[in-house]
Amino acid sequence: MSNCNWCGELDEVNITSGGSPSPPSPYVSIAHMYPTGGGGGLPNEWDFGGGGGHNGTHNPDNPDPEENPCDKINELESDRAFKRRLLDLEENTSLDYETGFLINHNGSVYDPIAGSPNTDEINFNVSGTIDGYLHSHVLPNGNSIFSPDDIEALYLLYNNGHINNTGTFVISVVTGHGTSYSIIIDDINAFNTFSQNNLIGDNFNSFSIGYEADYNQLNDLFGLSSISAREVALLNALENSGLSILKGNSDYSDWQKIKAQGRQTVDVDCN
Amino acid sequence: MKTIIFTLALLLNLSCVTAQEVTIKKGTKIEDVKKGTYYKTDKALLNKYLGIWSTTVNKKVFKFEILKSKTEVDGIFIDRIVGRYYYDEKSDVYLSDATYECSAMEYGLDVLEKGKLRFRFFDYDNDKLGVLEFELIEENKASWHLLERGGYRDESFRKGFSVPIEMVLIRKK
Repeated sequence: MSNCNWCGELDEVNITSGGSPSPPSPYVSIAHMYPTGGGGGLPNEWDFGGGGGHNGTHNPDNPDPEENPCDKINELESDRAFKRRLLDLEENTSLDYETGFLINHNGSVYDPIAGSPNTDEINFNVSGTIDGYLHSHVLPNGNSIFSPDDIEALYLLYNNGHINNTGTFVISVVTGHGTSYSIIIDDINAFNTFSQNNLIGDNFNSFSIGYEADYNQLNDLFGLSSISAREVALLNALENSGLSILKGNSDYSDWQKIKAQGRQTVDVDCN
Repeated sequence: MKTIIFTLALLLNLSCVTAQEVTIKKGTKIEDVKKGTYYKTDKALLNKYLGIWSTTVNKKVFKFEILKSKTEVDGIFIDRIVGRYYYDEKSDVYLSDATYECSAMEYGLDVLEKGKLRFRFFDYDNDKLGVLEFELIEENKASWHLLERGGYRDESFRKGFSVPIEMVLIRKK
C-alpha cells in the first residue's frame, strides 16, 4: 500500500510448520493466522468447534481485539493463497453462476461454494466459524460491487456466531465487470449498532431501497458510470457502519481503502 | 399595489420551482440537477410494466400489481418501481404497516428497456425475502421466476415460498 509509509521497509516472512516459534511478522497470511493441515506433528489443525472465538453467539461486550486497518490491508496484499483464489474467481466470472470460497471451513483453508446455473445468487451454509468468504458476481445481472444482501450476510454470520475473529474477518467479491472489493470490520461495535438499525427486518428493506434509489439517481441523473455509481451508493449506505471498503487492483496485490466524497470516490490513508 | 403584485408574482414563481417536473428519456443529459425537482421516468419505458398481472393457480387467483412510486433521495425526487401481490383472496394485507412492498432492485432506463426487472420480493405469509425475476415475454405477457436470495442460508430457506415460483402472468387491460 502506497499509503503506509513503512510498508516497503519490511520483508515478507514465510512461515513453515515445525521448528522454533516464528518471529513477529509485519505480513500475516490467512494460513499463518489460522494454520490448517500441514505436517510435522504440530497441533495446527483448525478447530471449528471449541476453545475461544465465538462458537455460537457473538458477544458484543467482549469483542475481538481490533487490528490496525493498515495491518489488515497488508495481510491481504501479501497473502499469496488469497490472491490465487481471487484469480480463480476472476476466471469463474465467465460462468453463468456464482462461485466462492469460505475461508477455513470444514477443514479446508478455502472451502469452495457455488450457486445454481443461470442464477445470480450464491447461498451457503456454515458449520462452526470461518475467517471470511470470497465470491464472484457474474454477468449480466451481477453487481459490480457488494450487494445489500452481501452486507446482510456479513451481519448474519456475525450474529449467528460464525465469525471466528472480527478483527481479521474479510469478505471479497470479484465481478464480471472487472472490479474487485473487500470489506473488513474496523469497528465491531459500530457495525453491530449499524446492523440493528439497517440490516434487520423492515430496516433491511429500507436500507436496500435507499442504496438502490441512490444508485439509480447517481447513474441516471448525475451521469456516473454504473461502476462509479455503485461505489458511491454503497459507500454512502455504509457510512458509520464500522466497515471499510477496499478496492482491489487487477492482480489483487493492492487494496485501497475508499470513501465517498460528494459524488466521487476518493482514496483513504489506511493509517 | 405594486408590492402585492410583486409578492404574488414571487409566490407563483416559487410554486413553479417547487413543483417542477422533468421527464428523463433515454439519451437525455441532465445538465443541472436541482433539489426539489421531480425527475420522472419516461412513460414509454415505464408503462409496459405498470398494472395488474394475473393468472390462476390451483383455482386460486394470483395477482401482481406493479406501480411507480415517487421517491425522494437527498431532496431530489425520482420514480421507483414497486410491486405487491394478492393470492387466494388475500387483499387487505397491505393495510398493515408491518408489510412492505416488493421493490425493483434496478429501474434505470437501460434496465427498463431490456424488458426484465428484478424485484426484492417480500413473501408476507412466510415473512421472508426472495428475488423475483419478472420478464416481459410479449406485450402484456410476462414470466415470473422466484428465487432464494444469495448469502448465508438462515432458517428462512427452509420455509420456501407461499406463492408459486414459476408462472406466466397476463396483464389486465
